[in-house]
Amino acid sequence: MPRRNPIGNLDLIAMSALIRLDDEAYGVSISHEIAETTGSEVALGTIYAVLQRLEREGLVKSSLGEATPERGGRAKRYFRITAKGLREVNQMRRALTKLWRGVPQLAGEKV
Amino acid sequence: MRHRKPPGVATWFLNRFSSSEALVGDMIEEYRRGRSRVWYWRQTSVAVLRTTVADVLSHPFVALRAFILMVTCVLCYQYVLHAFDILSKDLIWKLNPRLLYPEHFTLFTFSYLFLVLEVVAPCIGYVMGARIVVRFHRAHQAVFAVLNAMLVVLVGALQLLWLVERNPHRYLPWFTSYVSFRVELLGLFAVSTLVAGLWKIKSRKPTQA
Repeated sequence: MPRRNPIGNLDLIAMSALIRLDDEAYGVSISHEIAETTGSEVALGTIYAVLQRLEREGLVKSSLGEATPERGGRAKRYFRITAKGLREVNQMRRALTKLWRGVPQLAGEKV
Repeated sequence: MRHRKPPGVATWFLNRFSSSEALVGDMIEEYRRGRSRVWYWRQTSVAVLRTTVADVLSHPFVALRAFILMVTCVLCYQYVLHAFDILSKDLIWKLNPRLLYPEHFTLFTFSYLFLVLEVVAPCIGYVMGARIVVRFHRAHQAVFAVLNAMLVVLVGALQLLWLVERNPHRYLPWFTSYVSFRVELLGLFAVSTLVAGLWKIKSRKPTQA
């Protein structure tokens, strides 16, 4: 039976950023990664809202890092993708690849 | 990296709305890397809006109860104020009817009829309403303080529309100034409601993420 709520665009983008950043994934670095790869800026509040939801769904886990003076004494929260999250991303990637394959309008486009 | 101080009011709002210390830290870090104050305020607005919507959606019955309480407070107080207005004018009429004639306006009548009845008394009512609502919704104080202020604006705007629509003097030149005064007054009521709702609210306790 197909999943009722497939992960959305921003979920997929955020999780891909987590995979790319690996151990260095926290709010600021995720936001930079998204801006660099997609060319559009996403508000930090939006990124946190998405990651909080993904964490509740068990696709992402987080841990507190060190507090630094540049951050007004606030600790960083590092995010990591879970095995379940990685499976979801892979599943989504396969689904999207299937969708794009054989579409004449996309022929010749470099992916 | 310069240690610029981020906008204090925005950080104050953020601390009360966002349950994530890390988000505030990220914003301060980015701001100190050279982002503008406009950027900081935009990020704060998004975070506040997202928290408000998420809180209301995750607790719809609490939100409904708060909304009913807000409407009841605003309507009850307006009723009380209206009665007080009539009674006080009746008393002035009995003591010295000349005080109520526009051509005999004195400092007393100006300060009483205008400042007390039109500005101070409604302000006190809205402040009390805001305090009552946040008292019963401690877990979501900041969110309901904002919703309360929005409700004051909504009710005030509807009353103003009704006034403009029904008033026989609406085509007279002074009426525009009167309406703009009412709009400014509405802004004052909304701000006092918001400040009263957010007053002495502690920062939200950090949760996961």
